[in-house]
Amino acid sequence: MTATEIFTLPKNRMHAFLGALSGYKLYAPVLVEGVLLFDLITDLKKFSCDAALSGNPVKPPKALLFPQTETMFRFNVTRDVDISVGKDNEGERIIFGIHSCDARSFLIFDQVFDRDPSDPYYANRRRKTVIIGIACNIPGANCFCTSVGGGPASKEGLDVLFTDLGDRYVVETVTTRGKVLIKQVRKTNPDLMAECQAVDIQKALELHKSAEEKMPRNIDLDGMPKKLARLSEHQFWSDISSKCIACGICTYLCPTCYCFDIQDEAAPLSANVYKLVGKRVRVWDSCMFPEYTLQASGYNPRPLRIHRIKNRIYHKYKWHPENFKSFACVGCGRCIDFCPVNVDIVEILSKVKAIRD
Amino acid sequence: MNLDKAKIEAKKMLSRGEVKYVIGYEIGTYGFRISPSFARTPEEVDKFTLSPLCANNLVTYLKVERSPPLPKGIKPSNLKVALFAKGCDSRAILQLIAEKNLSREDVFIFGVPCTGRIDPKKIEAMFPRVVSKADVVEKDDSYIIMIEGKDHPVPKDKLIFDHCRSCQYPNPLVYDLLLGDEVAAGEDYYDSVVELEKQTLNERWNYWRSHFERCIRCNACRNVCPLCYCDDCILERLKPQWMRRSVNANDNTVYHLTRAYHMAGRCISCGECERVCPMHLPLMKLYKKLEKDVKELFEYTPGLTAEEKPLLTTFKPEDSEEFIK
Repeated sequence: MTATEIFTLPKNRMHAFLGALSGYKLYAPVLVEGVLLFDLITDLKKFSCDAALSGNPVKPPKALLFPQTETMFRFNVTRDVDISVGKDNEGERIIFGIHSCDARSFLIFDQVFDRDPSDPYYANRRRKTVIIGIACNIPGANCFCTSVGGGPASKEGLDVLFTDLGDRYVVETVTTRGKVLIKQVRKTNPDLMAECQAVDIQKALELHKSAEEKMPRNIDLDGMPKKLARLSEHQFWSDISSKCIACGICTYLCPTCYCFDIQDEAAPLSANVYKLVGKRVRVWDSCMFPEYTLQASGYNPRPLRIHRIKNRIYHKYKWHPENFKSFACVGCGRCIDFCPVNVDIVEILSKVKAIRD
Repeated sequence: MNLDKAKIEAKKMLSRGEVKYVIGYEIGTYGFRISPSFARTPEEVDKFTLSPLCANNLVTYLKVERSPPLPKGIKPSNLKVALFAKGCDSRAILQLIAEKNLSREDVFIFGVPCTGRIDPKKIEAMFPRVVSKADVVEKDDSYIIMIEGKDHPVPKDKLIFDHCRSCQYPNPLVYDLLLGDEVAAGEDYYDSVVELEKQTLNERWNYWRSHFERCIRCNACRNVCPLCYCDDCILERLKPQWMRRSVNANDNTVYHLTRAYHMAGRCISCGECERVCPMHLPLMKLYKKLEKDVKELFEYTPGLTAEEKPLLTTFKPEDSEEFIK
């Protein structure tokens, strides 16, 4: 670890700060038709701090490192099979304005995609991405990050952490990478950021603490994997799955759900159907869909909604912690916010805890 | 109280074992959220609530429950299902019966005359981050929003779903027990559709492309639709695979237009697709356009009777052919 460096940045100089991050592609939350989404910022004028920091973007930032549709390679099948892997055009990037919960989701992705062997598509983008987060001063209605090991100002997964003090930000470097970046900015813009006064550090810490106290949802998950293991055939699952409509909102909007499907999308080159041109794509998949786990024989081990809901809960709170020592959930609350029928993961876990066995 | 009347009847039916379960609404887990509620015992009926927040079209569960999540060894029940149905929901039931997808005797309907429902996107924008369970009552032209013991009156216009304002069938067209007095229909208009129709082909194309591009293909619009019930959906079929799984403006356009064409003359404008969309796609503009076209071309409105044959299964020599060019 590296010693942190702390500065302050006046709020009205935010655009100057972002402008100083030249050489990087900048991704930040922007409002598109009333929907907050991470987007490539090409014109800083269109970026508004207040809109950007009003809550968690609807679509999680996993989409920036693990896009919903990824072309793995292109092929051309004539007499021979010709395969071409796309050139790596990806430059260095910055994700700005991410909340601590979302930043932690990358650590969960790393456990799965950036191990041996690592996923080259994900790992390549991951290495080229600097992550600048903003502490969450007012948690959303369904936030429970503190229950899954995080916090509204957790630095895990971040390179730099911003804290909003009203008219200025406290800017704290977390990693060496963050330190280098801030150093660069200060070199080209010496008067942009000042050394942070002790009183501002104190204010930031108070804000972090008060946000933690405001956390609307709390659940003690101690012993959850073992409890789930004992309840896999319980009647309870049938009751809670009745109202689920098996759409993919909870999994697609989940920052940690990483299941994917691989498909060949090809078209005949001519009337000769054996001459094909196309591409192999990787797309997000969802355990809520019937196609998920459908086997070539036609058999599906998870035919009903009860199996699918259970899969989601068991993956996040049993399988993943048993294998990686952390829940596959960062407590961002999106699955609760956007469920059309109020399937509430915190309520489900609370009920699981309450079952006597 | 009308809800009390329904609760008494629901309890009677459940205790006599006449229905499999009763589907109603209950207060959800936070804020303004309402949850569909399945009562399998008379006691569970006590959870039921009925308010302007109860927007879900529960008829969709008649479809979803065709493959019910039953524990091993338990066979599906042949009993009736009882459910609450607003005007639009009752039209979904009639359309299902007309399409021979449902028998009238398989359902017991608590008919709810509906004065419009609150759009959760609007109320959550007006009162953000409400954690404690809130409730709403309607009073004249206002909603009284009750949050933590405080009342906030808000004019109805600011919170009601756009499609509820022009609803022509707020009263259930089919029911077994009517809960309350019939209410007046809204004003019949298609302002937003007409506005779009005035644009050039290019402008309309770009309008829809820009929205479809945002779609994440979570299938929520399809799954929540009470009339999207195909067991083998074309959007999901593997052999042949009509629909690519790539998510981009092109393939998303295919997804939405395929669904739209399959809903022509069938959509009953309950607005569920637009309500559930996390990406704020203005789907009701698309479906209102279908409704308007079908009305103008064929003088047909779906879901009004169980007897009339579905539009696309009939042919009349005098049918309009103007659209064939």
